[in-house]
Amino acid sequence: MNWDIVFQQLWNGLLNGSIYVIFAAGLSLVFGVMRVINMAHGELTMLGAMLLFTVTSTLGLGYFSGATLVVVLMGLAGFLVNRVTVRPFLGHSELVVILSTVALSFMLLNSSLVVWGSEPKGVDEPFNEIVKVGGVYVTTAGMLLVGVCFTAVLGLYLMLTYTKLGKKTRATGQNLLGARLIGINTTAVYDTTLMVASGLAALAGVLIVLVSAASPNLGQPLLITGFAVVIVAGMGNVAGAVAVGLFLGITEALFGQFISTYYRQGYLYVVMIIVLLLRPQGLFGRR
Amino acid sequence: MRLRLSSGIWVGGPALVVAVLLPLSLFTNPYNRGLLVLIVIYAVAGLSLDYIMGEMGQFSFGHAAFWGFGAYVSAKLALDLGISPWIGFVAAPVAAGLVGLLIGYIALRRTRGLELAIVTLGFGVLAWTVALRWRPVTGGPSGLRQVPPPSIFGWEIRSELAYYYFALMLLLAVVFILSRLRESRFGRAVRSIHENEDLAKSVGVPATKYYVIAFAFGCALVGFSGALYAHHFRFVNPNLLGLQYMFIFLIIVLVGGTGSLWGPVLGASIFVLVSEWLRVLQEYRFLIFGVVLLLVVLFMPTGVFPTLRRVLRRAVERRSSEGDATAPDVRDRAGGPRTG
Repeated sequence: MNWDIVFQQLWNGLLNGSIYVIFAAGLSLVFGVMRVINMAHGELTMLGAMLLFTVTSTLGLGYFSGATLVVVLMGLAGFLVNRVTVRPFLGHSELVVILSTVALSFMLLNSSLVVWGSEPKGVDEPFNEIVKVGGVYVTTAGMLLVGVCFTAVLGLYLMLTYTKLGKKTRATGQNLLGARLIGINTTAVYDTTLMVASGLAALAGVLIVLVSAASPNLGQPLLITGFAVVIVAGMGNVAGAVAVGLFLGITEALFGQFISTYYRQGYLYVVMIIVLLLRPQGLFGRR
Repeated sequence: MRLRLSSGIWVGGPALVVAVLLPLSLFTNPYNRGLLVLIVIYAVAGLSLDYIMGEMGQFSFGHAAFWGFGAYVSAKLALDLGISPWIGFVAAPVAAGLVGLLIGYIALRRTRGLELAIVTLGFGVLAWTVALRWRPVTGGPSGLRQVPPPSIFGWEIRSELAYYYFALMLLLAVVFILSRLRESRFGRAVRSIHENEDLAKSVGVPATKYYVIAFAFGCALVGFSGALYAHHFRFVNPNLLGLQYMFIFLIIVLVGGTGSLWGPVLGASIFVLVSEWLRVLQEYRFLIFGVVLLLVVLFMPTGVFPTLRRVLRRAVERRSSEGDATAPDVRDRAGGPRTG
């Protein structure tokens, strides 16, 4: 066996896996805290990538300042996402909220197609040198992607575990009524949860452009992948989503290299079904 | 009971007359009659999804996969084996029902609610991926063409008008079967599980078993709708199994309103006609569609039909209480949203 190829695929898988991790973390956070399936999460990522294209190409911002601006803007937009498409519908059934986020995803996707067209758009990376480590070709942009992903996820973990806001957030996720009873402002928690999730989605978007082009159509496939990760990990389990996202990204790349490129997309769903058969609550799910 | 019967006749009778007259009066050209056919096919699909959502209170986000699967089964039988579409109309629901039984068994043993939604979504996407990739069987992205229409005594049901009446009769049959099923012992048991699963189990209802059967029934019904689609539009492709139709069915059920037989039929009509009217907006139409959807959900969270019914009832109550202070309570037990 040619080990260089294995390591090369491990690296490629790490790149994809990092994107899955950061995407699924936000999806899982919203579900875990709010019990809301955010069908628009993929489109928020797409919007992050497309906005980065616009601010770098028309405003002339560099990658880093542009990406920061986009992530902050999208984080703030998370407030609107909550107030316009989630909060007004929470009193009814869970389905109504799903439908309202579907409506949001409809609007975001189709207005993006009107604004940007369906052609993929390239964004200039800040640096893109190819470094040979052993027998593996590694790009510096890819290293940036992996580094930022894990910093962000670590930050999310620290925030949820140690800060007062994080504790409030977890309490709200465990028991909404109980959290209200002890005086937690759950509305504010919901606002911040969607702001964080929306910022994470946009971060995934600005990182994707480091390894591929920005396109209005990148949201839906990512959403489906994100769901596969979230199911395998167990719904609402953010730490599990991180581990599973990474694992699936890497094994997917190996599967593509050694077994079948053709069915590579199907790999994730087959893993998902096997996990469902053996452990319907997911690998890290509680029951 | 008296009220249900009379409201069934007073609303259903005129609605049926209108449905029969529509293609002869307002919808006279083939394109518009095609829209009517689509409404009927979507109504059957919506009814099947509503059986799972309204009666079971569960989600099936892989529902379009069963729809596309039914379409493929019937189309393949007709194209490869030369089997009559009539047998396809039976084989498609049977096949979709069997797969539904298997998937329901896997998914419903332990997952409910939103978890079930995600799980079934996963199955749906897997089915879509396989359909897209398994080129020798499914024809790949371009699908299969030249699916034959059904024929009766050597006469092909090919025109939109004939197919519309044909499908309308089948829709009536589906509505009749569903109304009987909902009131049957099995149907009431399923509703009792929806209302309180632990309580239902404690009085001896085999909850998971009944849920799996009810889920498979919903899958079979949507497979039937898929076969109707395949033999009218005369093609099948992997997109029929995809998210797009999943969203369409979901919109139909939720906009129309869950928990009643009228809701999905009304939802299908609204969906087809509104997206047709928005066609003039061209590229902006899905954007506006999203806004319309959001507004409908905001102002009628239980759906159009239950909202209409409530408004009408209130009007009737007000009038009858003016004349008679001891007016009977006319709320029926099927009222109100059933999801959640």
